[in-house]
Amino acid sequence: MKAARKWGMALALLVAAMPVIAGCGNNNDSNSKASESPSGQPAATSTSSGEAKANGPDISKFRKLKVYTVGNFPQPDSKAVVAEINKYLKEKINAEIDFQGLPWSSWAEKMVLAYQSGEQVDLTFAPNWADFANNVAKGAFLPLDDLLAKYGQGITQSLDPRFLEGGTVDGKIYAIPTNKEIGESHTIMLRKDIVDKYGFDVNSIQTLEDLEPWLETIKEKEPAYAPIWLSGSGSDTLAYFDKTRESMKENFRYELVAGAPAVIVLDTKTDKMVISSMESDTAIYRWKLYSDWFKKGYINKDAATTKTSAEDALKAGKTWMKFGSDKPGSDKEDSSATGVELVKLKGNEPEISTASVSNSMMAIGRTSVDPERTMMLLNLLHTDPYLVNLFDFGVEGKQYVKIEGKDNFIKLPDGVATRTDTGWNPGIEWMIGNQTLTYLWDGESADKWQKFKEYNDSAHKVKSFGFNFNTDPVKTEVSVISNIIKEYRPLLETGSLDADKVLAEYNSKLKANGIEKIRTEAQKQYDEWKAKQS
Amino acid sequence: MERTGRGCPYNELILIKKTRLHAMANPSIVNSSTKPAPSSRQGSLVRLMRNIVRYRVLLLMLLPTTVVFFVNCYIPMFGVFIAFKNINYVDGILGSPWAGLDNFRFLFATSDAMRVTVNTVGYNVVFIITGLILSVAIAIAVNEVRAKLASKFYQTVMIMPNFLSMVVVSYIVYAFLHPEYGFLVKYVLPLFGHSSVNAYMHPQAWPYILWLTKMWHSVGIGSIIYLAAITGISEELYEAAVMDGASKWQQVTRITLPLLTPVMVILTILNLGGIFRSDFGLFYHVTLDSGALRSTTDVIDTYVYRGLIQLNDLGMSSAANFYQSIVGFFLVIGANSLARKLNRDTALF
Amino acid sequence: MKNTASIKSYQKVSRTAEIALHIVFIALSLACILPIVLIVAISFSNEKLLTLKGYKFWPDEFDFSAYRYLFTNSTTLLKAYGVTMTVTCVGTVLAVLLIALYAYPLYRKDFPFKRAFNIYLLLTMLFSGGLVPFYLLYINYLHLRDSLIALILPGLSSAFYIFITRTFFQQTVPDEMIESGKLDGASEWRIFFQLVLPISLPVLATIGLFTTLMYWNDWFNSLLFINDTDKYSLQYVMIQMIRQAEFFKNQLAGTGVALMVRETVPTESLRMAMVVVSIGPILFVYPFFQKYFTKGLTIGAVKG
Repeated sequence: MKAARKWGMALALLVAAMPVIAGCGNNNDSNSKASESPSGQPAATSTSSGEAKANGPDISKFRKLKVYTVGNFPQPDSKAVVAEINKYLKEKINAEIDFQGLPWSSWAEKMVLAYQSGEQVDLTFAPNWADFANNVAKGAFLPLDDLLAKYGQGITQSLDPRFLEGGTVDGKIYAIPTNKEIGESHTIMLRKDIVDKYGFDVNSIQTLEDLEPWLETIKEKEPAYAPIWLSGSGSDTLAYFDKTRESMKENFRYELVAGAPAVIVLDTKTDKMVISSMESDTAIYRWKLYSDWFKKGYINKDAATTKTSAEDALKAGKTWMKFGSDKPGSDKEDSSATGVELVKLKGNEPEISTASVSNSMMAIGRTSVDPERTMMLLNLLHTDPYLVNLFDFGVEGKQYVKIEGKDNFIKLPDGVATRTDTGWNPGIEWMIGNQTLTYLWDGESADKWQKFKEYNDSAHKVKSFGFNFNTDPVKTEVSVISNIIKEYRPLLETGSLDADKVLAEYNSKLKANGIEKIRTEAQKQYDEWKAKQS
Repeated sequence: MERTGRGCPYNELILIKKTRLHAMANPSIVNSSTKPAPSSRQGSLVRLMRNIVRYRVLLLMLLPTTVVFFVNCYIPMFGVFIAFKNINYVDGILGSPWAGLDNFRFLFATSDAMRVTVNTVGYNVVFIITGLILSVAIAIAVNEVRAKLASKFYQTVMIMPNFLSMVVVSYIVYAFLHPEYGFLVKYVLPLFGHSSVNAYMHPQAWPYILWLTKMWHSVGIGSIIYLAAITGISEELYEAAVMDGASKWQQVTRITLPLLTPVMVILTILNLGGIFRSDFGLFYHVTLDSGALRSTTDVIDTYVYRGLIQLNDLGMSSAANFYQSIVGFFLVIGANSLARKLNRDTALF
Repeated sequence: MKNTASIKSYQKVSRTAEIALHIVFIALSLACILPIVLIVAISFSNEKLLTLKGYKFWPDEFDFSAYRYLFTNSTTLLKAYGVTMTVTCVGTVLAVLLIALYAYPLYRKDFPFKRAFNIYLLLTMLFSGGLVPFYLLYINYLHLRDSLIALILPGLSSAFYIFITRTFFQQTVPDEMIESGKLDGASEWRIFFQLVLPISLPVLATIGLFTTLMYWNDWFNSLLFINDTDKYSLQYVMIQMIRQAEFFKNQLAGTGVALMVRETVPTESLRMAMVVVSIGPILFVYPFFQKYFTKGLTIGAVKG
């Protein structure tokens, strides 16, 4: 019996050890396989592109390309729309797509796993706010410079060259931004009926403080409305309207640093990285103002924790304002989206930053079966209105109809109330190739894209444009600091607690947990980056 | 009791998820493998073969499950290396460079490490003890309800909270605590002369709120195991006790409780293995992730989640998982050897 | 006659105690059922009024739009029901069988490899390789993408339940029964299926209940392995709706992208309607298992 037990033990140990051995074996396999296909493939393709065949691209071999994107998926009519896309692509570049439209709620996880497991990823949505820099560092995407030069002329011709900075890491292009508005600016939108009722003049508002008498009026006379509605962990924040008396003294002095924790900002006057909660007067002033307003009752009481966004609160009649983009025509767009007529304040000038040019990009995965063909597809998305509109709006006659006489305008088919009812409304217009090629919906102004151009031209380019902080050397500190930021920032951004008290606690905690180390690293990287620029 | 039925590979923390496996640990290898073999090698080999033949049917019974565990747990187990690696996609798991213990640093390099650990362990200890007491009490009491239909109804209803995921539970708690419309704020507080209170700004209230929520959510389902155990107790025992004039209370303390002890011990040991893990949804969603509540609601799982959601670092999340497992492992060894000393049969192994 | 009287007497609690018990349990039941009522009420509420006035147990006005929406798009929902039902039924039967088959030899005192297989089990609880290797295995080697097996197989390896079942066997299955079975010349299979399993129905029902809940509530495996919308499980469809808002808060907070995405986060009443639809059937699963919690079959054996 004892002997049997002993043998049993040996057996157990062996069995227990086997998976490790077997696992190793398997994994080696998978690795060699994985690295064979991706690095083998691109290697082959890069040599073939290196040879630079004069007779143009070879598309004789049929390809099925896997395209990953995110949006309001699944859509009922996916199959029909994709079939239509494939019919067209087959003809154009002898390829079809395996369209992976993922829902917002699972996209991030699925992509991590797809990159990690070496699954085929040809074209993928890769914006800067979803780990782009990290994914590049880990080798998820292919460098695109050669491919772009060979098969992406349509892109280089149509895209504002400043955009390409957004997808560039260490001098190489890894992603192609969507052609849309290049700068960002945000503003506050107000109910037109209320504005008219009290005779407010939206043009008179130059800074946030100018709003105060209005808020007082609303609080007194319209008790059903929260004068200002903020929500959750800062997803509706007054910082969207970034004009305070303090900040306008030196507009655009402090810049957010792409990739760095939100407390690190660049002081463009001194070229030093500063910690906003300690050293940026404008930030501290702003937070004190919020906390003052909160005390005065201008901000909804549950601001720090509510899940109701300002837009939903507006729709429900709990407030009279919401935040929105300040791009041309945005007040019209939002009025029709919310069903409430809105007017907008004049926001700050648009700002072109690393973030603004890279918030929507497409990359080619290292595991692509055919990077050349994928680049051709991407090129089509930037140049071919038919294809772009097919992706964005679906099939003509089914999801939309053209308005007679107005070439570029479309409307919903008769008897269909909203775009959701058409069976294809993924909301991906701002992700697919060239947004300026999309049709205009009935009611939009015909010069929309012209206005966009003007808006883009007027934008202020930030000093750190193109700089991206690489968190890797200080990732321990970044994870620790992220926790602290998540603890205090919502309180500051909503003014829910006394700003002085919160700031004191916040700052001492930041100091105790290595914020200086992050700052030093950020400064170092920034200085190196700047030295390379000139 | 937690729903612990998930397979082994679920400990990873890179994702938002509601249910967490209580990974458990076990030490038996250490115990007996060092004993010197009494018989000769050859003899034992013969005996082994003989035993294999003799117990072939039992071995056959074990086979399918053994295979399933091999596939689900043992093959993926090479992933424990991830905790010690600096992973990149090109080199894969084994090819990526070693990182030593770097991935573990973020767990300790914070001034909050103490607070997070104390919260995690504190809540778990309280949950395990009170959960056990309440589950057993409910099981015994519901078994005493004579009207069988009523008893069935109570049981059915009491496990219902467990069907709601913590995200949904957070809506319910919010319905009670909403600073303007919450039922408590609107109807109960005025009775005590308080006006509107935003509970999500008052950390001191949360140990109670979370305890209540957790018990409400898990005690009903937890009592089911004990209920099943009670039905396994022979009626003759009670009859004999009644003959001897035992009161109801004596029947409970002398018969029911002692006979439930093995199940209680097993469940407690298994739960101890998860002492460094928490019900993520409870501490994250139910608190609405409110910054002001951190001092009493931040636990290891939420800390790791918040720290890594932007970094998305595979190595660091594996490290956190490894750390939680190892602590659970030693606790299970300890608890098990204690249980073994008290009663060999009730121990886990 | 005397016998039945005595059985009754042991069961009996005093009248006052009985009433007290009922009061306590009615209170507890209310505490458990009211929140469900609240969820149902929200699902029938008007979205605007919800935002405006908060939750109510009885909506000011009934609004069926959430359900109307769900049922106009019912093909996805029906398919999801089908997937979940299939996975739950097949999974539960398989899991209970596998658990009992493994727990039984571990219970047998005379089984010489007991310890080895205990350890084999326990190691799985100790070290997990984590998600990525698991995913690699399922997708790249077993090729289970979009296969229902990927939803069933992960639930079959629960060491936790095996230990519980083993403990129950130790409690309720007398060794003598095995011995006498053997003396009668019954095969091991016969002993297991005809003697052990029938008297272990309460624990099998318990494990069955837990596995049913586990399979029913699982969405994570769908997230990992299922891309085909026709094979989404019910909980996955639901959790997607619920998590959408969460995603925006986490990933896009304050970035300006949040304002760009004209996302359609489902309304609160729709989310709750989805919760109601997805937990509806499972609410009544308990009575099914409960009927196996019977004393009659138990052979009185007490140990320890």
